[in-house]
Order: sequence, then C-alpha cells, then structure tokens
Amino acid sequence: MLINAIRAENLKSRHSNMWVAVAVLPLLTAAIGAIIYGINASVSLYDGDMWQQLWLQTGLFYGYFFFPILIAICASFLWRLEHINHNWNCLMTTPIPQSVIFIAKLVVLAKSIFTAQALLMIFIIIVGKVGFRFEQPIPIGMLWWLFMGWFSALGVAAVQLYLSMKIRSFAVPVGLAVCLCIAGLACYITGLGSMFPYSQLILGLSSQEKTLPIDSLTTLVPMVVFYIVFFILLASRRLKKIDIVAG
Amino acid sequence: MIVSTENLSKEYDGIYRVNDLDIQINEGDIYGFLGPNGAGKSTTMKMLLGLVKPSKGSIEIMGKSFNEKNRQEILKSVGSLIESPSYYGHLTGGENMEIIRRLLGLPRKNIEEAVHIVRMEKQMNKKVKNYSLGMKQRLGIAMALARRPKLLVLDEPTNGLDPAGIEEMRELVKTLPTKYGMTVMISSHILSEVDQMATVVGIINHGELIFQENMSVLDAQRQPYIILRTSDNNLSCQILRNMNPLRTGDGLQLGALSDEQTGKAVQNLCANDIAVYRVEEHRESLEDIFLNLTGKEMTL
Ligand SMILES: Nc1ncnc2c1ncn2[C@@H]1O[C@H](COP(=O)(O)OP(=O)(O)OP(=O)(O)O)[C@@H](O)[C@H]1O
Ligand SMILES: [Mg+2]
Repeated sequence: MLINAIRAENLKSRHSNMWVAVAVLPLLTAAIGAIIYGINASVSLYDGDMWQQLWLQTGLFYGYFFFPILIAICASFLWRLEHINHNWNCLMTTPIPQSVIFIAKLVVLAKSIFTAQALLMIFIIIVGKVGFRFEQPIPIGMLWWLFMGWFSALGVAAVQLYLSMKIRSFAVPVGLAVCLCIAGLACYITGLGSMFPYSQLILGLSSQEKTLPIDSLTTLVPMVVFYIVFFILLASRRLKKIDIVAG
Repeated sequence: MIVSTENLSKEYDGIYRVNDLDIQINEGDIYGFLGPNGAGKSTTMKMLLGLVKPSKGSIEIMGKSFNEKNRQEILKSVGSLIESPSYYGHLTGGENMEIIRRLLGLPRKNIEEAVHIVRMEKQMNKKVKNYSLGMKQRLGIAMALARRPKLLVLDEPTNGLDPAGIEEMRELVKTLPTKYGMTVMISSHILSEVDQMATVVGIINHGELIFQENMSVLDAQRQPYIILRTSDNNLSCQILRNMNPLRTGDGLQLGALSDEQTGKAVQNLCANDIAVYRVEEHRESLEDIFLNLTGKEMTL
C-alpha cells in the first residue's frame, strides 16, 4: 500500500519544477560559500583544515535560511499538484489511508532533500578541488554531515508538508518558513536547539564541526522522530475530518 | 441495494443545502440525479464518496455503512468523476493513468481496457494540459473505470462536451450496466440527456428529494393529449363538454383520445359549422413534469 503510494508520488513529481529548485539552491549556496571563502583566504593565511573552513563558510546561510526555505518550496510544489486541477477529489476517493497519502509525500520530500544535500556536497568538493586546489584529502566526515543534515531536516519537512497541505497558497508556507527559521535561530542560540525543528536542522548541519556532542544526539534524534510522527498524525486527522474542497 | 441513504443532510452556514435525502439505488440502475443549479447534487455525491462529511443522516454503500472503518473497502469498488476532471497537467495521459494504476495496485490490463472504452488510446502520449475539455473528461472517466467499479458516480459528465460528445457519453453510460455489471449514478441539469438513458430518476430541488421513481412510472404519467384549434374555441368547448375539454390560450385541450374518439369530436364540430384548423397530439415532456414539480425552468 505505502510502496504503491510512494511509486505514484514519484511519478507525479516527475518533470516537476521542484527539481530545478533542488539543483539551483545548493549551486547558489556553494557559489556564495566559495566567494566568502575566497575573500577570507586572501586576507588571512589559514593553514588548518581547509575543507572544514570552506565547509563552515558555505554552511552558514545554508543552515539558517537556504535549506529550510528549499524544503518549504519543495513541500509547496508537492501539494500544489493536488491543489490545482481538482486533484483533491481524485486523491481522496482512492482507497488509501489518509496517513499513507501524507507519508508518501513525506518520503518524496525526504528524497529531494537528500538530493539537495548530496548535490551541495559535490559542489563543495568541486569548489575545494578545482576552485582552490586543496591538497588535503576530502574528509570522510562529510558523509556523516550529509546524513545528519538530512535526518535533522525531516522534522522541518513534516511541518512544511503539513502547512502546504493546509494552505492552498504556494508562497504563504514559504513565508512562514522564513519566520520559523528566525525562531529556530533563536532556539539554537539559546541552547534549545534539539527542541524545535528549525533549530534541529541547524544542529544537524553543524555536525561538520566533528563535535556534535553525543548527548545532543540522544535528544536530537528522538525529537526529530517525535515531530515527524506528530505531524503525520495531525495531517491524517485533518484529512479524515475536513470536507474536501477541490480547486 | 447499492446505495441507500437515510436522512442524509448537509448544513453550510446554518442552511441545510441537502436535507433529509433518502436515496435508493438498486444494482444495475442508471440513476439520473436531476436538479437545477445549486440544488445540492454535487454536495450529495461528495457525501456518497466521503469527500464531504454529512451533518446528519447515514449512508450505506453495497450494504456497508460509510464510516472510517469501511471507507477503503467501499472506495475500492466506487469510481467517480466529480464536478471537473482531476488530472496532472504536466504529465501525459498515460502517466496520469499509471498514477491511478499504482495508487490502486491494478494490473495493466485494467488501464488498457478503461482507455479503450473511452477511446483515448491515441492521446496517451500527449500532455494532459494540452487536452481539450472533452478529452480531459474522457480521461477522467477512464480513471474512474480503471478500478472496474461496481458503482460509478458521475457528476455532470457532459459538462463542456459538444453534442457529439454528449451523445457518445450517453451511449457509453447506457452500455455500462449490461456490459460491465456496473450501477451508475449520473447527475445533470439537462433533462433530455437523462431522459434517454436513466432507468430511475431522482429530482432534487433546494436540497430536497422531491421525486424518485422508475422511469416507467414517469412514462405512464406522460400520457399524450390532443390540442384542437377551431374557428370558435368557446363554442367547441360547449359542444364537446362531455369530453371535459380544457380551454387553453388559442385552442382547447382534450385528454388522451383514441383515433375513433378524435374522429367523432371533429365530426361533431363540423356538424355545428365550426371549422377545425388544427388537431395536434402532444406529449408532456420531462421538462414539463419537472417544471410542475420545481416551478423552475430547466435550462442548460
Ligand atoms: N463548501 C461550501 N460552503 C458553503 N456552501 C456551499 C459549499 N458547497 C456548496 N455550497 C452550497 O450548497 C448548495 C448546493 O451546491 P451544489 O454544488 O451541491 O449544487 P449542484 O446541484 O451541484 O449545482 P450545479 O448544478 O451548479 O453543479 C449551493 O447553494 C452552494 O452554494
Ligand atoms: Mg454540481
């Protein structure tokens, strides 16, 4: 059942402009990171871990804003499909549990987030190897960052997917994401990072510092899982309760 | 009984837009669901599909009461097309059908058959956003047929079709019960459309089911009658008074007369020096019956 629904969602997202966003935002991020790194490198002779340095500069805007906004855009794209051309009618008259409908979309969103993460990683490697000719070996820790960044973003994905399901507009949930990012930043600074999805994401991405403390991990992982489950339940409850209005 | 509702009602903003419907649809019926704009047809059909939650009353479909527990089981055998066809415009017709196939876990054969029934084989590689409205409508029907439903719910499926398309749709719907064992509920505000295919008619007006009968009962009500126009209609009324004539605008109306009775009446008038201009046989149309029931003209 779930597998079938995911396969259907995969097909729906084919040729979607969502993938343009998934490719462009990491590219933009890597470009900005490269410029900042370039400016800094020309004034100070840094001789530590070059990769980590480049990585830190790149990750700054990405974690605080670009990444959550990309997730919001993808979530809006995924639901826009259903909000237009009366697709709600068709979707809700298929014999599929409401939760499965939401989970299938969450899986596709998770896939696109992972793609964005992987692309950014590749772009960073290109910038380091080709742009700045780093001699140091590519740190294997990048894979850990790739995974943790992806995983810790899933809470945000669940929230945004819920918002975009509920709100017919494409832009409003993205705007809300910007506000929530600021709240996330505040939580992160005050040390409540693992409690709030938008700061969980910052925390997860900061595993580039090789120092994501293990006690932070033990609260982060259950909290991410909590938000995922919570919003799946919320979404499925909503779909069971409301009158479907197709547009 | 495929569909049976009891006191089915829906309230919007304090007004019952659908009020106490007891709809009964038997297996193999083509149930023509008629009503003017805003009568509550779409709302009723959405309730039957679980899209809209009833404010009151209950629904039974194929013997199962429509609730969260039975929802999936019921929807497996119900195909539908509500208001406007659903489609993913950035994908081809074939991909749209494939989505349905995956969602429902159907064999490919079902898709081929459904596409064949609506004769859309040649359009499968075209993006749906480039389809005409009629093609979208047919794709929507193919999607509804793909699961080989026991019950097919069609809400104004001829909307936006040209006369040829309407005729084709009518022919298609007529074959579904006999050929595929389906029961069809089809809504319309065009009476003549339903007149020629429905076996049962339900008429809804201001949210109330004001009529629900077999077509044969309606047909029996539609007795032909005779209209006479003469050189002196008033005098004719006098002369034919034992036939209970009804004086109309420019003539008189007699009930259902046999050939013999008609001949007698005309002879009688001629004998009284009245010239008979016209003898016309009329039959009450479904529109007239509808007008009597709702006091509203049914128009396109
Ligand atoms: N979501 C809603 N909120 C408020 N009122 C609604 C809603 N949906 C329908 N209505 C009202 O309920 C009434 C019945 O609407 P419905 O769409 O069922 O009519 P219909 O018979 O399908 O008409 P049409 O022939 O125009 O399709 C209308 O007066 C409509 O304005
Ligand atoms: Mg309607």
